Amino acid sequence: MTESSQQVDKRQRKILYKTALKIDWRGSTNPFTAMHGKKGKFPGIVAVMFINIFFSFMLSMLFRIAPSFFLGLVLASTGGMIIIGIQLLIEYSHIIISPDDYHVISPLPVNSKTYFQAKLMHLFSYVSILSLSVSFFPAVIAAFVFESFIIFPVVLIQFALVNYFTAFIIMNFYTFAMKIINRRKVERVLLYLQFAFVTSFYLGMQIIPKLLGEYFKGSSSETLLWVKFLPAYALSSWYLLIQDGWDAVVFSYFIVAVIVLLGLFKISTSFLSLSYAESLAKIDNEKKKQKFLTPTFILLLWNKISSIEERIILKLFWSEFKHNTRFKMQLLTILPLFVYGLYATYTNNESIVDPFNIIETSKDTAIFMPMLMSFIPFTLMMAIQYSKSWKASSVFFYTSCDKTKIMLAAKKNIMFLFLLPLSVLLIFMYGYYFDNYFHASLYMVFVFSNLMLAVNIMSLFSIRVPFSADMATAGKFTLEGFIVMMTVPLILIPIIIVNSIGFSGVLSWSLITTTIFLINYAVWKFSIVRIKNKIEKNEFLG
Amino acid sequence: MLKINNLSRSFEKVKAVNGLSFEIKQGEVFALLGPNGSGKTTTIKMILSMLKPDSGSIEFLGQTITPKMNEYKKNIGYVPEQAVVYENLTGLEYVTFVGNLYDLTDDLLTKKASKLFSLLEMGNAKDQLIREYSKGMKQKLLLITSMIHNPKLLIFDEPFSGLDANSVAVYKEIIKEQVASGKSILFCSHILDVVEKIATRILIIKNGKELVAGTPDEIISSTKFDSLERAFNELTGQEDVDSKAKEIVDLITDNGND
Repeated sequence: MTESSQQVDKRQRKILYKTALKIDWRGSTNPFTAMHGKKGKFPGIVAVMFINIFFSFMLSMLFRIAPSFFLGLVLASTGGMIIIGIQLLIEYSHIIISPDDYHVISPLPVNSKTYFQAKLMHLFSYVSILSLSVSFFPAVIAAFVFESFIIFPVVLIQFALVNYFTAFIIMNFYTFAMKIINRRKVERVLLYLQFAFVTSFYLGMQIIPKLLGEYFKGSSSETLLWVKFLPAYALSSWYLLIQDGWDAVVFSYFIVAVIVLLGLFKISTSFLSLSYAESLAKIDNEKKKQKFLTPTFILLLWNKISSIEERIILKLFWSEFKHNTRFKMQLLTILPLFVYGLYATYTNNESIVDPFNIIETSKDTAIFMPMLMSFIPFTLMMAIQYSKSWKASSVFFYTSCDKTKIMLAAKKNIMFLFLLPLSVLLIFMYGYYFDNYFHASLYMVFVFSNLMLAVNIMSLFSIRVPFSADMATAGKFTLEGFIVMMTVPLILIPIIIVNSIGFSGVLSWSLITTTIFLINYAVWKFSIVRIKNKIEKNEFLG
Repeated sequence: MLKINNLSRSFEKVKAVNGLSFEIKQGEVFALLGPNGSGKTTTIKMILSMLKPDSGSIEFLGQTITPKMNEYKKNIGYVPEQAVVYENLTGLEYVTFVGNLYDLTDDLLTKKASKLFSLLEMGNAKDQLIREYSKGMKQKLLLITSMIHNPKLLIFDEPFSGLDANSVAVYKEIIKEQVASGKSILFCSHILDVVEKIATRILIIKNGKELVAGTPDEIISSTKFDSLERAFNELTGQEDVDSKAKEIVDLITDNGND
């Protein structure tokens, strides 16, 4: 390469930078965006910013409960660091470096210095935007709590510092991880991190402020040793030096922070290159034979008793669950909700009461758990509508398959492969609380019949071949979605009534449950007619 | 085998297909040609009931097709224009998936598919996720799924897209063999030298309407040219291909130094 070809081309750098920002604006693959149903309606980055603002309220609480501003600053910026860190991990291949860069840019006359600078500018912009979104409200709250407006820029700067530090850490972590394990495994680890993140979100809103509030009574950053090991502590030392003046220990923290930051920056930036993008592209192209599940007894039994359509839908369901992070997240989010449900039940002084044995009690009957359960059919019914490969659903149109049977198979799979096992699992949980597994079993039969009814009613309004809607439109507010969601409170009513007044005996349980099963049967039969009429009129939208 | 009568379909105010009629007989290779946006894919989608016609009728094996009918599709195999498949399934899973939709058993499908994968030189790829396939591999996969149920009519929409020369040669031979065994083929392609060699009849459409129909020889001789490609250019209003190409090259080479 000639000397001139290694000069930074400012025009190219501007184009690369502007294009990267444009891509951020037009959408990203961030599962948080999808999870909260914002993709398609808002640009990806805006949706992420909204989520950050939501989280930032939680971080603001730390300034209220921390005994000093400095301790609040260290803890809040650590929280911000975790939030931004996980977002960067998820968006790594989009924000930090993409294998696509190799395919798109390497054939073009762009030298590596230009590419490097454009990438760096983009990374700083992206992290700055995210940092601002997560630090703005904590900065405002801190300024009010500690009655000093100078605190406002201090919080913003501190968050930015720790978030740049995080970005460099992530780059090094990702590269190192890929050296020792393959990309797919790294991505699987990232998925679990997201899961942990969602769980901590649900739990953190309630638990962390309460726990820390107790813990902090009479403490300070001086008495809490562990705080000094947080990276944010060293990265906040600049504030202590300005605020309190010279201190040898604080200065040593400051020096360590500067050295680490510069060192990480130096190492990280070596990954902002087209040659690194090339190595990512090579990893992407690695072909891998799929491992198949050994047919278990359950699978063999299922193959015996299920129809071809049910097996087809299960195959699609499984492949989406296995390979579509967004789909997997939608379903896995149900689990932390249950943990939160149990926690909320206790903190609201409610209890899970055996409806066969309702006695006078000072506690209210828990309705949080049934509420959560009633959302599960809705989550499942909505999740199976969308797919990245939605255009492939043309196969249901051009083959001789019966689309009504396909749709009914999707319903049956939801009922018997998801809701039924979940109900069986819940027998153990309720049995523990009721101290009577027979009562728990009867109660869950009743709950299951209600969940089935929810699926049946929803299928009257949401008539579409499974996985045939564009993923980009997932989460858009539609009349259909609204109507389907309205089923949730409808189904909740019988559960709430039973929870508050009880069954009074096995006979009345039989009567109530049989009635709901009969309604189910009627709605099922009606849904077949309705689906048949509607689905055959549907045209393929691709 | 297939009879299209006065078929029309509009999208908003645009008439994609406008009173189109043609017939495909048993053992015929029928090429439906036309420039981009001329209504070829829309016509195919109506034959497969993926779209409903605004007017006109479709008869297949002597039976008039209505949008609610499905069974007739067991006698049709289809390779769509775009290779859209469930990319998170493996090749073999996808073939059994589509075969199941045609009511074939898993055992038969696995046996047939494994051999077909090998014959199409994809034996090692059958257990790979489709998202790792090249464009040509996806096209071969679609060829397998279109034939696995042994249909009477094969509809290929741009079947040679992304295929290498060897695969195109195999594809052409498959078409010939299928026709020899009494099957009919309806296909759309922009590779006109291949069309010229294998089509028994051709229909050229533009703006959803018939321009000309006949055997390749009849169509070529109706113009001043001696190849189907140039005849197609003339018939679809692209007579001045040479002058247009020259104009484009002149424009590109002009650096504005005059």
